[in-house]
Amino acid sequence: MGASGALVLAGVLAIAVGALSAGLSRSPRTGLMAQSVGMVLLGVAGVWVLASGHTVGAGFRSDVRPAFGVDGLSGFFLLVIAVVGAPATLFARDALEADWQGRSLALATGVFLLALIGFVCARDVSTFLGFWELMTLVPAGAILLGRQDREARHGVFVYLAITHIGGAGVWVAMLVLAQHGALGGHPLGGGLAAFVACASLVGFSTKAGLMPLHSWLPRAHPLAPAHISALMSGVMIKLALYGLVRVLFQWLAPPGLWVGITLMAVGALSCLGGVLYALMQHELKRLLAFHSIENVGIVALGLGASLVFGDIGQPTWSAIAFAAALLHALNHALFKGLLFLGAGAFSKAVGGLELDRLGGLLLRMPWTGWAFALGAMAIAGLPPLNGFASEWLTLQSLLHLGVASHLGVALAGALATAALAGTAALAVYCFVKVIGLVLLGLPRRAECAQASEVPVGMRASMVFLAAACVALGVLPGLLVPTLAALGPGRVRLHEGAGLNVPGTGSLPTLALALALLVLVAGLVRLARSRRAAPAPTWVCGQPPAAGLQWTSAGFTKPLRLVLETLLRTRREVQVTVSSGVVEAVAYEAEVPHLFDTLLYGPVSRGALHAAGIARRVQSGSLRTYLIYLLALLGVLLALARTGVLR
Amino acid sequence: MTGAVTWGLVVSSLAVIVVRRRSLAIALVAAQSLGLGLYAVTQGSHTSTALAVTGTVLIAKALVLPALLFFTVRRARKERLIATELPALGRLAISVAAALAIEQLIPRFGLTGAGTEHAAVAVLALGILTAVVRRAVLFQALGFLIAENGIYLAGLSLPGGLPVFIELGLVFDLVVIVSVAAAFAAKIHEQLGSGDSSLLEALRD
Repeated sequence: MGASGALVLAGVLAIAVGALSAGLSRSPRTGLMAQSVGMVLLGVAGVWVLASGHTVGAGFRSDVRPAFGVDGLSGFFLLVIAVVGAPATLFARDALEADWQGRSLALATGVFLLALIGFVCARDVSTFLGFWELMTLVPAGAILLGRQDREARHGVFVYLAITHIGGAGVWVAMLVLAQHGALGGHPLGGGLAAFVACASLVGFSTKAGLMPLHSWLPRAHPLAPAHISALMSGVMIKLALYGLVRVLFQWLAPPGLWVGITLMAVGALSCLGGVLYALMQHELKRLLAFHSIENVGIVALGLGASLVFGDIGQPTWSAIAFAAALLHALNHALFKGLLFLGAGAFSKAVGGLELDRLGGLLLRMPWTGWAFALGAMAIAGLPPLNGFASEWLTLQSLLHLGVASHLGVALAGALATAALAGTAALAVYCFVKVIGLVLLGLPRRAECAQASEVPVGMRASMVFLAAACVALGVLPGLLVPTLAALGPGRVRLHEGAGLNVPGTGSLPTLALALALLVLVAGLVRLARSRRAAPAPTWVCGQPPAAGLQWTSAGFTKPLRLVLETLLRTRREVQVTVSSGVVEAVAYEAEVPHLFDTLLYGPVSRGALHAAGIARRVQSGSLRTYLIYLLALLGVLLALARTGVLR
Repeated sequence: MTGAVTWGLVVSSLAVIVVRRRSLAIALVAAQSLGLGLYAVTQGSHTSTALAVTGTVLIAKALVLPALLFFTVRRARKERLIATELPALGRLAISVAAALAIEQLIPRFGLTGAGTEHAAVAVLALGILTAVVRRAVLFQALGFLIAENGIYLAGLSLPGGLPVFIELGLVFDLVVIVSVAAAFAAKIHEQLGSGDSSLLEALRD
């Protein structure tokens, strides 16, 4: 075993010991610290394997004997787990109380991390599927440890129901692949490959939260404690994409153009739908959950484009699109982890995350506020942060697809480019709203006015993630060639700090960052030298008041009006009039989730109706079941006697 | 296997379907198990140790499980009449008709004597039918014991008998089933004043 193998083992051991210690000792702090250290060791091991290109442990095999190993792709996803897992556990160290609930959550955190690690290190079908299921079940338990109310129970039920029904596709795909020796052997081809591609698209897309199989995600993610939300949104849904990459890029022979186009279509729907519904949310964690759907959609666009490029014989662009997808997966893990931890910090400080009841937190919680603002700018795709780098690379890939000679491919590329461009614009719109309502303006309630900064461990974890967002935005070129080499064709790209793609120019991220730094410094200097009389902000001739500030609904109203036909907003205005005088006006507006009302609603009603019919058969009486048994036996014997069954 | 033993088993099974007194039904099943066990022991002493094990297990079954059921009956002495129970003749007619139909449908499966084979199928079917036509939990448990005796009867007629581990496994399953059924019967009686399992259907939401 090499040094990287020893690091993996040491990391896993530290997390396991940390989980046990957190669960059994009086305070979970030491155990969570050990988990954080374990995550750092695993992150180092992941980078080591990724950079060296060597494989540690076993290779993939199609049998059921448990086997573990790490190759380049697993190393990358270990890094994804570590960059969120280490700060999340550090955050939890200060966020969790030293009571029964806190200790149980710390233990669940460790088990969840081990499930995530086990999934990316699994090298046989039984371990792969075992950790896949564990990865689903543990966060459900963690949510119920944190909250036991009706909303939480319903959310967990929906989460488990949808992920398990959809996840059946994963079982089917993996078992067929294993039966035909495709894991570690020759990739599966022919008609069966199309079947496996369909099954894996349904199975992995459900867990990844791709539309229209996403309905569980905005329900479950906001319910979890902040650090678990960060792990679910930042890591867990990416590991579903890891599974999809393994199946579509390694275990299947090139699956055909239609798979790439389908993935792009699903990605375009997810990124546009996700950001549109995020804009209409009034609760911060739910809004962030919808943005996870959007960003997973962007990753799917990149993966789909990579498959399409591979099919039309452009291996270099296939590798670039693949690298763009992986880079965006890492970037999303960073800024979404940061934003969920930030939301957790705000929640701890003020006790609620309704956007219309926050405000003025940048002044009162500067560390958290600035880190959160940086994360918001990164997810909005503003340069020179990491979100911009990976979205730029994805956009370049899609633009290049748009000029392909094949008409269908060019049309798909053009539509996907338009979807990504629209998504980027709407994401900026959404996070202007978030920053304005949460961080700026006046506090909208007493708790916000009295808010104070969270403990140093929570701050440190957010500052680390914010710094990583900047670093990957300024130096993405250091990682992109390594990621491209993991993709189809193992293409070698030009190395450098910025992004350099053939034929369409380059993005000098470092120079851009320096130019922005100089510009900002100049503006700050200019602002400080300005001589102006201090006077209250002009608000229609009266002093500023919290009630006069923008609301979440007010900010997005222009968009709601433009997209009214699509969004089908429900509005209700109640005017209370007494003696001819208007005493009160109550206004309620709701944007229904169309996938719930048009797709999931009829399906669940149909399922309940079928269950009602089945319930008549299920009497619960032993005698009735015995009668069924005897009747079945009699029918089978009669069929055997008559020669129908041989 | 002698005709007297096989006929004894079939008749006692039919008797459990019609009798009203629970203690009598328990005694019939105990006698059935005891008879089968004694036959196995006498045969086992000069054929193989496996048959001796079978006999020992059956004797234990004839003593331990009926004792458990008698204890349950003693705890729930004032049994309310089960209004929805079919009349005895009706139960007997349904059971005999169903058992004969099953007899006709099941092909030969290779026991030494055709008579024993028919008796084994009949006892097994009558045991299951007892659980179907009787509503009291205690009678349903007795039905499973009778069905088990049908399986033993077939096992005894196999050359060399059933393997020891299968017999021990079967008897363990049976002990668990009857223990749970006994506890269940006592609890139903305590809560509802009757051992009628159909009353539980009213508890569904």
